[in-house]
Amino acid sequence: MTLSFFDQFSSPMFLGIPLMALAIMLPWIMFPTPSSRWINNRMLTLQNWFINLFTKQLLLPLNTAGHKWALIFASLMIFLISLNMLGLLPYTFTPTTQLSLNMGLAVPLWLATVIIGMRNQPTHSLGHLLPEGTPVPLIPVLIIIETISLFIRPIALGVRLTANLTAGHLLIQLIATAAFVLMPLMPTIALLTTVLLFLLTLLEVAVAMIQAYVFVLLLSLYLQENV
Amino acid sequence: MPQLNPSPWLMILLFTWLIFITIIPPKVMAHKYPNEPNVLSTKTLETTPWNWQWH
Repeated sequence: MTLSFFDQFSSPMFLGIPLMALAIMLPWIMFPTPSSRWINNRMLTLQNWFINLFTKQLLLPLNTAGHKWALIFASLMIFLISLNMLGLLPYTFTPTTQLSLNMGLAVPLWLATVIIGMRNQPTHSLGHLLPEGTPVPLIPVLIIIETISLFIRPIALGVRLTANLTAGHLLIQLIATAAFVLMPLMPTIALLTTVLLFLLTLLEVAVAMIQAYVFVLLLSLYLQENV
Repeated sequence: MPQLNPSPWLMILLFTWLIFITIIPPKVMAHKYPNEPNVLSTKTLETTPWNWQWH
């Protein structure tokens, strides 16, 4: 069976265990549950600080009704950022490259924000479909456009995360293959390619963190409109 | 593209939500903070300066 570069993304099985299950279950060992000690160890203190800072920043633009979502946003951020970052290690599987996982997170959460808006304040939520100050003849067209953009949001949310991570992993694999193949032929070029690979890996670390953050941030924005 | 293979989609969805709902929130909730979340107050306190009487 010829391997293509996309085969790193098919859900792998090892000894009958789907590795997806392991990749989703095991990262939380790195986040120990804090006990009621007054001062915890360094790792817990850092995680504590991070969750506090992140939740405070994220909830700043939300009104009080939106603060109920603090736990789910914090959990989502921890989930995504640890899955993304751990996937950059060699021989690991990144579950967030799977469209199923990202859509499975994006669609229900987006739908929850829309339903909350429609149930509690339907006029206000529907009012977002028409930007302020549009000329009267343009109103029907703009409402159609805004409705389409509303429905594209969950797809965009899921596909953005999937595509960014998939593209990053694919690039790493391509350039690593190039460096490896070039090593016996043109060692200098192979060295340059390795430097490029190093810089790309740094970029991918940044992308992993940024994409997780963007996912949660956009969800908080959708919540802000509807709550 | 192997990601579009529909066969493990439902299991991945269910499993992810299971972990997302059962394992992570207790870990996040267990983090305790010394101060209550508070709204920033808009008025600044007026402090009256005083002299050091004993110099």
